[in-house]
Amino acid sequence: MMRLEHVGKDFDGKTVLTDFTFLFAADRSYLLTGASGAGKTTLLRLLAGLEKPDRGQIVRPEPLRLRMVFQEDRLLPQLTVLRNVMLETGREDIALRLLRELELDAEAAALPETLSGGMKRRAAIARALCAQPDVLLLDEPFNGLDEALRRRTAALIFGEMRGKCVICATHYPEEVRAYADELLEIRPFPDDFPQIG
Amino acid sequence: MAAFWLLVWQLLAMLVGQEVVLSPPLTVFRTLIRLMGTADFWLSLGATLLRILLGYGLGVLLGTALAFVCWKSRIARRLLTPFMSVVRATPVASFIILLLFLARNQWIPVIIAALMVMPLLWANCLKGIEETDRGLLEMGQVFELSRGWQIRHIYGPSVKAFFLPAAVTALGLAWKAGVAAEVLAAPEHSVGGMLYRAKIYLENPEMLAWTLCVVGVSMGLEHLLKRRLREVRR
Repeated sequence: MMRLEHVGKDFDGKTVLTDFTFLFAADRSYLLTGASGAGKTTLLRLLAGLEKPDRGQIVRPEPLRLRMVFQEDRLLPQLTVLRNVMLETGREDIALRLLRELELDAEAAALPETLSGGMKRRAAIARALCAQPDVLLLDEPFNGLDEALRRRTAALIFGEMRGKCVICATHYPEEVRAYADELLEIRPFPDDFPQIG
Repeated sequence: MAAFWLLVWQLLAMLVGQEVVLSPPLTVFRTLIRLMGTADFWLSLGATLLRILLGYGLGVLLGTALAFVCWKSRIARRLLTPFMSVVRATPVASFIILLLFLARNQWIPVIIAALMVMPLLWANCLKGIEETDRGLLEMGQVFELSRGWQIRHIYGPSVKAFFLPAAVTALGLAWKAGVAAEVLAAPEHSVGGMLYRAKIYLENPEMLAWTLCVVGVSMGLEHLLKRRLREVRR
């Protein structure tokens, strides 16, 4: 579905990805692992269209409903949690259900600034899920969540995205491993070819 | 606090000892009350308010619109940046004297007020647009939110944070520069014209009474605008 062909990316003259070739299938889940700075976030940003590759090309079907949970929560500070979650679709029913599942229903009317880090994280996840994407990119989605919440959140994400494509970069691989169809280990340049497990 | 400054004024007036140079507060307040009883006072004040608010509105509109133009076009920005710097650096008196040859007296305060407001609003709106959270803009891009939605919910709050304080500062600037323009251009029915007349006839109490009126209206307008802006912020 999304094909990366010999993709390379540099930042300030430093190569982050050198020659990345991979086909992401429409109905599979991927767990990206690798040391900090290996290029996981760069890869997700390239897939999201937020960065252009310096070399190679990315082939995406059009239209493609792709959404992302960023490393930062990126919630609109002036909107309530509920309005943040339903901002794209306007589907209050789905938004409230997701908030309930993520144990955030009591905060639906609150502004993001009043939430803890973990709550904001879950609100950002709910927003991405509420958009009902075909492809969901997750960049460290479990930051700020305790182990039990990480497990429940992972179950919800992969349950909602069943039969669709999830690409998740996390420092908590154990929560995702059970759901991921493929494991991609990204190694820093010059050995950044994905190791598929 | 006001009583303290009134006392300072009274003492200074007593020290000078000449009403034609510095009138005491009581004389000035009496003169103001007498002026307020005349139709000419209200006509002059109304016409001045109208001119300056018109200039202020024009300056706000132009400054905001040009900020958006400069955001979209690098060429426009290159052209307008030195122009705005020159407008900001040029003494208001130079503009007034130049306009005495180019514009009708009635319009000079309007143009001057607009010229004072425009660069301030332009600079602040542009800063607001540029300092919009890039993370939120990327979120808007990935979530395919419409341009209009992004302007309202992402750019809007950022611009508002810079626009509102600038709008308050600009109002004071417009009022002061507009009255100064009236003093030199002396259009019919104007506070500035009245100030000029009082100066010519050495009517110090009248001159100070008009000055009090200018200060009072300026403070009142600023208070009203701040209150309105607080409501908008909520």
